[in-house]
Amino acid sequence: MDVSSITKKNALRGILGLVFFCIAPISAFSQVVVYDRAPFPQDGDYSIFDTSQNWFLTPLCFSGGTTQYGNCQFTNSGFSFTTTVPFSISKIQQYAMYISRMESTTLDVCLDYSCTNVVASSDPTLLPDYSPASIGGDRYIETFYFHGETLASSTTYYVKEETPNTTLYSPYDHNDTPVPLWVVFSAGGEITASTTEYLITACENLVCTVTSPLECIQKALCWAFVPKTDDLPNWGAMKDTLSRKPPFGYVTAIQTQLAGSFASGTPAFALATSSAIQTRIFDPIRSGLTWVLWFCAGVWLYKRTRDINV
Amino acid sequence: MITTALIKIIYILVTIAVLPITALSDVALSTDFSAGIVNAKNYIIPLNMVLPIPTIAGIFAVFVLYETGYFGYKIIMWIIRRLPTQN
Repeated sequence: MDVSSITKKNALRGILGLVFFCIAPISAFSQVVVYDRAPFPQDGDYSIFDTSQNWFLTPLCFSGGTTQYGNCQFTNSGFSFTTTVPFSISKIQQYAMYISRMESTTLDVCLDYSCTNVVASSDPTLLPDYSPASIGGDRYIETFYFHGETLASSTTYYVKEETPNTTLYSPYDHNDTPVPLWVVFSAGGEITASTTEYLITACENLVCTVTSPLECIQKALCWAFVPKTDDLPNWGAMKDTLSRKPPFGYVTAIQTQLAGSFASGTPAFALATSSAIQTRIFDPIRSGLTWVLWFCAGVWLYKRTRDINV
Repeated sequence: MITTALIKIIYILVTIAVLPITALSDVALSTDFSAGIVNAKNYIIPLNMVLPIPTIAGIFAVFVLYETGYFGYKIIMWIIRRLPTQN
């Protein structure tokens, strides 16, 4: 074959076709029905993965009074856990008989106990007058939504609240009696690593018999297109390695030092102002500048792309 | 099988491509450098009251990413043009 006959357009079509060829069957199998809310865990449910119920939770942390189970370690203000496989975190669900909380809160997943290196942060949960969703009886559920950040394996993560004067969990009932409390990691609604895990298990559960030819076809497609977890290279490990090497390591190091919002930290000096000036003058200017800067950046990007010579 | 093989091939290619980088030793910044960055941040924090510093940093990151990506593309195309029958 004459290599020169391959145009860029045809090469692109080939790559897209190959990707579609491999992804399409997986997508067909990925129509997994995942309950938005998992059943309330029972005592002893430390590791739940129940494909027959169409829901999965992994890993499960359980804390009842001073007793702790699962692969999570609870502290006064949060808990830590160590991943065994890479997985995407889309939400953390907290179950409790009774939870006391005072104001809005956000969960941070960090690489260190002091949370100077945040790897995932949940959307703020507004709790002006704490009223968690009741799921029957004295049981309540609190859900913290993340944006599907992938957590690498063999890493210990620490989960803490951003707001220091709130409590992640309060394992006491109305009479100040310790009651069991569960913190559950759950994935649902998005195509995540956990969904892939579900897919793999679903494939393994297929039984090819004479009376179920469809499952035979599905099993064949699984064999051809669904990757085995053990076979997949550890991309997360490669990313971690690269993040420590130059030149990426310098960016990582600086990012680590600059971790956290600019709103936090210790200012070297203070600009004299008042809350009224800040609210009525500086905040509108700041908001306006944000829009103007992004608009200018968009114009620059458009003109740069238009003038680019490929 | 097909997907696994494809992923493995891509992984091997990427591993080979980044081999010169992974062979380097880990970055170790001196404490003075780290303290300098934190100090610089502490001087910038008050300006955040008026100027949207995170926005400026984000736009700067977009510029850097765009230009780095374009530069990388030009390098790859330069290498491809070195191949026989490619012009």
